[in-house]
Amino acid sequence: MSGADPSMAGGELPVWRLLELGIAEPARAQTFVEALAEAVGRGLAPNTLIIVRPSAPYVSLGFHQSFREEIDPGFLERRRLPVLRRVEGGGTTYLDRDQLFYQLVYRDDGGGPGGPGDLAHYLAAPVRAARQLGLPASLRPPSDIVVGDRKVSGNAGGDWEGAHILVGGFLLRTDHRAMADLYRLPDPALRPLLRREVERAVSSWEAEAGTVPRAEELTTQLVTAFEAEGLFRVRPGAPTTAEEARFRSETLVRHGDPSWRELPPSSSSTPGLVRRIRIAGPRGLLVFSAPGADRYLAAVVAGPELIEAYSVTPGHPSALESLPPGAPERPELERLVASAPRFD
Amino acid sequence: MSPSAASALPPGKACAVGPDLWYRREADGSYLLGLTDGAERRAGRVARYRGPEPGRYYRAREPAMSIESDKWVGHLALPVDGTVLDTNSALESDPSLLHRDPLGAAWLCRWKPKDPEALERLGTPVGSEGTG
Repeated sequence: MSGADPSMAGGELPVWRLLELGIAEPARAQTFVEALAEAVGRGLAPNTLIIVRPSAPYVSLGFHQSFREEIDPGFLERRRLPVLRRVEGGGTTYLDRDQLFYQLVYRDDGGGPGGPGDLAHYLAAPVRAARQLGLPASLRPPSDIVVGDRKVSGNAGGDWEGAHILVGGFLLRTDHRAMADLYRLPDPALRPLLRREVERAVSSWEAEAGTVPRAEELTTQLVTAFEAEGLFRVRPGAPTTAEEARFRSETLVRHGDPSWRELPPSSSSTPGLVRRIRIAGPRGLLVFSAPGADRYLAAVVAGPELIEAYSVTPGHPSALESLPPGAPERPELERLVASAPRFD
Repeated sequence: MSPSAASALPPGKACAVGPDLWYRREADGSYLLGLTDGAERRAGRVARYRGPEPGRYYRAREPAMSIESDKWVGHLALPVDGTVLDTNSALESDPSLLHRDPLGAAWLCRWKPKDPEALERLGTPVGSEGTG
């Protein structure tokens, strides 16, 4: 092919395809974007923006996370939720139809810095859309959209089959209990602490604005915002027969394969660390085996800072015991926290 | 594509393949594969590495290895079809090794290409000065 790039219109913004998939079953809502990647990467399909909402609750694992280490089996059994391992990064998330997803799949055409830098590049648009609709949102690097310090949108990305994929979604309403209860914990005494932390760190559109925009209104604002940020404009389209076929014959097959869900963990080894949960942004929960004792030491941290410290004695009636500054176990916990990977 | 001028490569008969990867033929005929230091810098602070499955045959373009930084996962493929012999478990245990020694101890995997000549045709040889 010769001449101008057909995705450009007279030197103006590149034109991307808009796929509005409506309300879709979890596997389609989460993974249809993967089915487009190879064709987009080879230039056989246009860069594409997908808007979709999941029809039912499910759990999404980050690519490098361990199904067995991350998710509470009792929670899954009670709620009978599907678990999907996405190809993008980030942590374990609970998703339901009270979230609206935006997903970008695009070629490495020089538009953004590439890699993790693309998150801030493209997330300027969802931030703008939220603000246009009255939500005082901002980006907390690398990938959270927040109001104040509470998260209203989580995002992640990756390179897959020659294309870049960025996935994210607005939390229109938040089921904090489900978000906290999906995580596996070494002792149930930590559950109330985790619930409190999730409640504190994660918000929703409804909680911040008192109302929730209609999906159509939010979609319009998102599309407008990508254009206003100088990123791209869209032309409505539909999935091709080939894309639908690839989704059924490859993407769904991969996600239905137990070995995909059970991929081994890829975590750095920190002596004594038995659980590490990112709650949001730099805030997280670290649980260690107490050296030489049959109990755990737990820390709520923000980046390198130890915010709260606890001792957990399994089976004890008051299992969770606060460790104020000056408590004898505190220096040991501070040493353990310093040795663990930080949440940045 | 040649590596960027800022990229260096390991000593010995290493070659760049694309902007992100280097390979080097070892004495036993196997090949080490690694990430160029330019790619290492672009990746940001690497928090996770999952290597390929030893003994498995991978096709070129098939995602085989992955690196995560700042919630972004870079999936990497072998440059040509081949069988993975070994993955770098030290890098899986300590992904920060990639920042300390991307051209040495932080190799990604050892593998045997199905067609070594096809690989050599893709590679851009560099001298032991390793300027790329």
